Amino acid sequence: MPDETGLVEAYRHSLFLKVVFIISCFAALMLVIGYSLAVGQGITVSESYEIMMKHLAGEAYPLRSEMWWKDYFIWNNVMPRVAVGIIGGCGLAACGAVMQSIMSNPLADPYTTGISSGACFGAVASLIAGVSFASLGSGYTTVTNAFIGALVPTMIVILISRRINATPATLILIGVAISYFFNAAVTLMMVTATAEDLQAAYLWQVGTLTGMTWSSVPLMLVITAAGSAVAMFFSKNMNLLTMGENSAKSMGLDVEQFRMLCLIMVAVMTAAIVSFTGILGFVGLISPHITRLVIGSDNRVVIPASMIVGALMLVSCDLISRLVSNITDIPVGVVLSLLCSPIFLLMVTGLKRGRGVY
Amino acid sequence: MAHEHVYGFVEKYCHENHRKIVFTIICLILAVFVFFLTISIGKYELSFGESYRIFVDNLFGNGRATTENMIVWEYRVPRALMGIFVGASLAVGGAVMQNLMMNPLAEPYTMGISSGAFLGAVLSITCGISIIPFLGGDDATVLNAFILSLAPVFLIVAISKFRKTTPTTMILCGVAIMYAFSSVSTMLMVLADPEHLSDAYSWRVGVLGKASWDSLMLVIPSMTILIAILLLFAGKINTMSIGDKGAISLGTDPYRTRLVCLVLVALLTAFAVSFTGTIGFVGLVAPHIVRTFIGSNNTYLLPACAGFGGIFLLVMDSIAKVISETGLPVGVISAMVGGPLFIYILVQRKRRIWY
Repeated sequence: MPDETGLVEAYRHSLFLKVVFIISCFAALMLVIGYSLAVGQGITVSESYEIMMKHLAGEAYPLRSEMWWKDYFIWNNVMPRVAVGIIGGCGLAACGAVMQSIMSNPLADPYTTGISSGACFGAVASLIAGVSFASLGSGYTTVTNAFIGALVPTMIVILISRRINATPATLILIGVAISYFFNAAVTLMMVTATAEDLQAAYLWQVGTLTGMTWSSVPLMLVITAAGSAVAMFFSKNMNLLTMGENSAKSMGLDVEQFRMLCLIMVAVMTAAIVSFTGILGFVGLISPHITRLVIGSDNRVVIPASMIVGALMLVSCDLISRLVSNITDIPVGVVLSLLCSPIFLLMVTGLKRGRGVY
Repeated sequence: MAHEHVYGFVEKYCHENHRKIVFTIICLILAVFVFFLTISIGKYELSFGESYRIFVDNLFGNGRATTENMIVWEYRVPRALMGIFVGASLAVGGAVMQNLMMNPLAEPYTMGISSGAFLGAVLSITCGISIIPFLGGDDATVLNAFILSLAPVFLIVAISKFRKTTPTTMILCGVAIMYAFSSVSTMLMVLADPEHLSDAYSWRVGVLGKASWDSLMLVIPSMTILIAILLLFAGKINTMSIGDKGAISLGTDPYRTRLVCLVLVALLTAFAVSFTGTIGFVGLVAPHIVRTFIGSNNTYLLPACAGFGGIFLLVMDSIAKVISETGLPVGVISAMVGGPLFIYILVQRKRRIWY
């Protein structure tokens, strides 16, 4: 048993660890962003920061001068991609952390209730069958379809769970059944499609940041920012849930309602992200785990910290995919799962029992 | 209440067991009926009696060289038999896995078997690589799939040499391996040209149409033996459902039993997957459906699962044959029909059967 001073010291140490972890991840993120901007145009890293800062300060260059071209390249080609990477990584990681807490299941990720299958269904319906769920102009059919499709499974899960006394296990099972259904519909369309359509649809499923423009950023940014703010606001309630459902109830939390609320929030956030990028796996599953392994499982810290880790993961994987893409075009989704699955395996086999992480 | 008296309790127990046996027998009878129904269904119109006669004729070696005979004996009968055996193995594998892992979401593919098999198939389809040299085409695909589908399980067995593997570690390992394998196959598929991608994709969905007598000669005996061995383990698997400590106190070594059963299920699934592709849903849902009828006692659950899984896949394959001229993949139909059915059962269930 540690005496009083030992306890204070242990607390200080853990606080120190948290601060150091967050700061170092943030610094790494900044570094990777700088490097990302610099790659591909013969610009040094420090130069790319300078150009960014100057652009943000509103500095204009003479048209078609050397600096103008550099600025144009960074701001219009690379920056949207990096921005989407940051927002997507943050959002998916936050959703993953929330889902793992409310389902009390370390394997839960943002897609557990079938969001990915619904989004796939929407996107594939537009890519292969040319169906549009909402007419918002031809350029955005895939995005709007995916967004609407992504919300459907969660709605069904919520509707069903209101009729029965749903435990997290039942919620997950219902989600699995729904995603099987939508996946089957997707498969049906893909099997009957021509080989070229199939390839387009398959590439969408893998998830990529290629070809992002500024037009996709605002909606994602607003929804992700709002959603993460709500998630952090709820983080105390999620801490209550980790003590078990009954204890949480006795502390005055309406568990069922809280869970539904979180599910809706996660669905909207994830839908906003995947409808632009495709199904980016792994970020939502792994980054909360990495965070928890280092700084413990207090959700008030885990959610913001894993957001930074998620952004770092996604942006660096995108950077790697761009570096190797000189030869062939490899989507970021592939790089993510290729790099992260060994990390995950090491984490799993190295798990020490009784650390109280899960 | 009847069970407050000892006599009533015994009667209730006998009645329950009676019901379980009746359910299993009904499954078996239905399987035979559906079998004959499905060999008379298809593009080529044949009556129920006609196809039955052709089947019996061939069984006694009196097959005639007619078109009907060809269609029934060379295409429909192998396909139906493959459906029954693959369905039975996947369902039994799923039931065993759900018990071993103490997780209602476990299925035969939880250990990453499907992703391993898929990687093998993709290697052969898109790159023409065969793990066993000097093979080509379909043989290479089947063998690649079989060998690589066993790789994840061997890795898990190897890890368990160094660490005491709990069910959670095993599932997590399986998931990690699954991701690793599927990332490689995704990369191969992204780089492949559209035609190869399309071939690989339809392999993954899973079809029964490729079944032939040659493959059945291998599949039927090995699956029967593996299922029979798993049935012998039913009692031990039962003791494990009360937790590892309980199992030890009842004289079962849970770690050993888990590994042995895992290898058996892996072999069973590998046979199914390498010949038909990854047919999903049966392994997950069939055990749950059977459990709602007869409860969780594995001595009865496993045989009933075998019967029910066979029927389920066979019926889904018949539906696939009926609604489409070109023949839809059976995996798609079983998920589309089985998904809502599963939700209905989840909502309707009265008893607590999922641990």
